[in-house]
Amino acid sequence: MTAGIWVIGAAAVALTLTAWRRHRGLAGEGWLAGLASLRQQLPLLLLAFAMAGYVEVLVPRAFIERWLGAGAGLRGVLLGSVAGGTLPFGPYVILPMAAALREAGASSATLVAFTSGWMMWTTGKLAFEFATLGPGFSARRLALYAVFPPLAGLLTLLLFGS
Amino acid sequence: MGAVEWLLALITVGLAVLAYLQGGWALAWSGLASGMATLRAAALLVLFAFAVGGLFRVLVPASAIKKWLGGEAGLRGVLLGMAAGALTPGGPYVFYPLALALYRAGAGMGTIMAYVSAKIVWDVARIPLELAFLGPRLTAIRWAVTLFVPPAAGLLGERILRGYRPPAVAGGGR
Repeated sequence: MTAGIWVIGAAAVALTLTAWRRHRGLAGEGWLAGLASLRQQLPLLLLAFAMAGYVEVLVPRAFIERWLGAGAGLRGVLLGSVAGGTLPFGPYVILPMAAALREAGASSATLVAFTSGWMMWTTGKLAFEFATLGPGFSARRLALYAVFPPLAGLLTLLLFGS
Repeated sequence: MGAVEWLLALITVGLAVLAYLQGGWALAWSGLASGMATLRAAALLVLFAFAVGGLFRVLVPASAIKKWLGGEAGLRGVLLGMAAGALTPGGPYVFYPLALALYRAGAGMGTIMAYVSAKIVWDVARIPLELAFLGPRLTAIRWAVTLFVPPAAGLLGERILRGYRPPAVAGGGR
């Protein structure tokens, strides 16, 4: 988050300066357009944050770790995809979890399926996708993405062994 | 309130009730507190993300966006969308508002799909974290076997999202 805020902050400053140099009122116009969009999306964003918070406190983490460490081969790939895909956490929780799973003996294919499922099915981010691009976008994207995490795990199994 | 607001509100209330049933008021409160803590930490990021979206809209003429990223831009739009997505930092409260801003500015849905896909699969800002926790070998494997996803999703997205309009802008105009 800290690095992200510097990059986005720098982009905002650079764009503000560019707009201001092009024509005095343009920078204010851009900020107003952004703020109007924020005001319009705010109720949805608030709901999305609340929803993400609830999901985070409701999922039993230790159970998932025990359950996944035991999977191998094709079964591990499928379990990994589903577990990764349904866990709604951010990278600071999921990636250490993946490291713990590796210590617990999970195969590379299971771990690739797990991390791919997490990043592609984006359960923790869905509320934000709903709020901006809409449920119709999410539904189509998820239908398209259903096969990608198991496929990534399978490719790992075929190309790099377990 | 529109349909999406109702749906999200319903799910949130459902989760709150579930938290209450599992752990009483303490868990119901801790879920809300956890979400609001994330919001507090991300507030400035959210503000900047929307400002960048607004400034982008006034700075880049709609005709240029249409030409480079619009529905007719095809492969070029998908490629540019992917580059922008991979390089966008921050969480979902940053890149989804930016994706919406891109759409409002005239980008095609294939470009939006490519942008979102590259952000979630090729996130450059996540590489140090991946390396730290998964190690170089597993990180390299993960990238190698998922490299095809953003271009495939972008090109297919162009088809499956033809005619789709986000409800946030469906009321008229973009």
